[in-house]
Amino acid sequence: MTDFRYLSICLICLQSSMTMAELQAMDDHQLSEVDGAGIGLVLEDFAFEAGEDVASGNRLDLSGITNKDGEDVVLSVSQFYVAGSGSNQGANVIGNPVNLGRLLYPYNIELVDGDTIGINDKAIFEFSAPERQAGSSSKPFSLMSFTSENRTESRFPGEAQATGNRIDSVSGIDTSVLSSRSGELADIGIRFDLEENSVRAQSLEAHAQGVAVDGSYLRLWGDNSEMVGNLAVNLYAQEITLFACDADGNNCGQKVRLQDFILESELGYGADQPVTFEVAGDGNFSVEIGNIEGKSTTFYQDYYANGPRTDIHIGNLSVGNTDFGSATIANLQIQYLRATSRDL
Amino acid sequence: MQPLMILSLMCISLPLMALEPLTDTALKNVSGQGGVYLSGDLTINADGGPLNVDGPSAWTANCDSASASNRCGGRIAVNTGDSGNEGWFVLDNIRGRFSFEGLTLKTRSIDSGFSGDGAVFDNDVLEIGLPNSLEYEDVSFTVANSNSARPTDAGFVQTDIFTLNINGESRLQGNLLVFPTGAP
Repeated sequence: MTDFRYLSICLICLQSSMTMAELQAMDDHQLSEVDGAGIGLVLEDFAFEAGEDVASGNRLDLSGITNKDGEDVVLSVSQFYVAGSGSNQGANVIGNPVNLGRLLYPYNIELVDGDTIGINDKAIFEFSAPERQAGSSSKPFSLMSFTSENRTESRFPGEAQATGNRIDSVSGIDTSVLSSRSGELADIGIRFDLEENSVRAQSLEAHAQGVAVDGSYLRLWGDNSEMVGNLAVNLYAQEITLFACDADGNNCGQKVRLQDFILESELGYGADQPVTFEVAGDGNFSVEIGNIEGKSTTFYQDYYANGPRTDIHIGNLSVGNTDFGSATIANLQIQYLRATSRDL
Repeated sequence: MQPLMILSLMCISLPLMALEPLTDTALKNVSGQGGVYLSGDLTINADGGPLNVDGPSAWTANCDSASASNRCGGRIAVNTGDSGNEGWFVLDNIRGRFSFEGLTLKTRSIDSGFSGDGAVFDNDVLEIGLPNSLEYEDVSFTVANSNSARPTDAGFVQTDIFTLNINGESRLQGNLLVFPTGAP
């Protein structure tokens, strides 16, 4: 019997030894090796409408703004909608749906190995819109076909020179880079009522037709216990219309129309130029795009040629019946930005 | 002693009966039946929450629906760094009532449609059917920045950026499809 007792105790000890391995925290390096499968999201036959029919009490109010006389200004959203094409500026929303994201190119939430996107030894949280195709432009994944030139110049007199491809003008629009097909572009619009000192003063409307955000992403990671990120905003709208009406939504003024509106903006360049969002001890908010001062010449040359940049193009701007033609802002590189709020 | 030994032996034998994972082929033959249909009604801090009723006096305030007191709603504060001088992003005064009818959950096998994408995709997705209407009653929150986590902290300063109030109904249609991507 004594032998059995020892055997039992041995067996119990053996079992308990299996539970002795405690959980260990993973360090950044180990975490960066993780490349989990992502979660794809697609909105099928989607339409959304809020705030419509103000008369029956549907309200979405933004308050906290004051005018120069210190009176409260309330921005009341009397309609916000997302629908398929042909929404007729918000008149045809429910029953006119759109697919946002494709099964093969969905919106995606993923933990990415930073080594694969140039942010070494970090695990990156990424939320991305449907990806873009390579396209034919000299700038990869760009909607804009450019005529460009190769320039060698120094950013300041006497400083080192760098060489890179720069845009001269936009020669066309290559919509084949969008993975969203023409039937998958959304109509999005918003109608604001402006209420000053409890008097409904004016109504402002903005409607965008044929919108795609393909190629946009948000990447976040931790650096010295601080959350930093990179952001890309890629917006394409076939047409954006802005106009103001009186408080009842009638007697609208001339329309401002932006046709073929393209915004391609990248903020932050990997870990070398992270974007940080923070609140200071006095309760004010600040956004910072990191300073690249003091880096190597090799870095500057790479930054100049491949670094993040913002290009904006409007195919045609018209006010009322007058066309102003096209407008382009290109090659905009933000080398440092810090914006801080102030309490008035 | 014998019962103890038998117990020990039984414990050891447990892992031998471990669950076996189903292969992809076997999983493909599993067909879920139906789904779930959900209706919901959610009220957050309509009258200032439970602390307003029997909490310490610092938490109590007049919290009827017309009240704009910041003590009434819920508060989420997120610190933006690790040093003592960092401030907090705040979502303050969260309160109101949401209700929805007809949120559905089910699995769906897609191997056709979607303008040709379905045949290439040929996989299963989780389908969340969006409710046809979402109703709000006095739903509000304030976006703010603050120097401390709680309004009761010493030297508390807060800058309110804007307040959003929602009333009435928003209408939706469509499904949200959720599925794994990449190569796990």
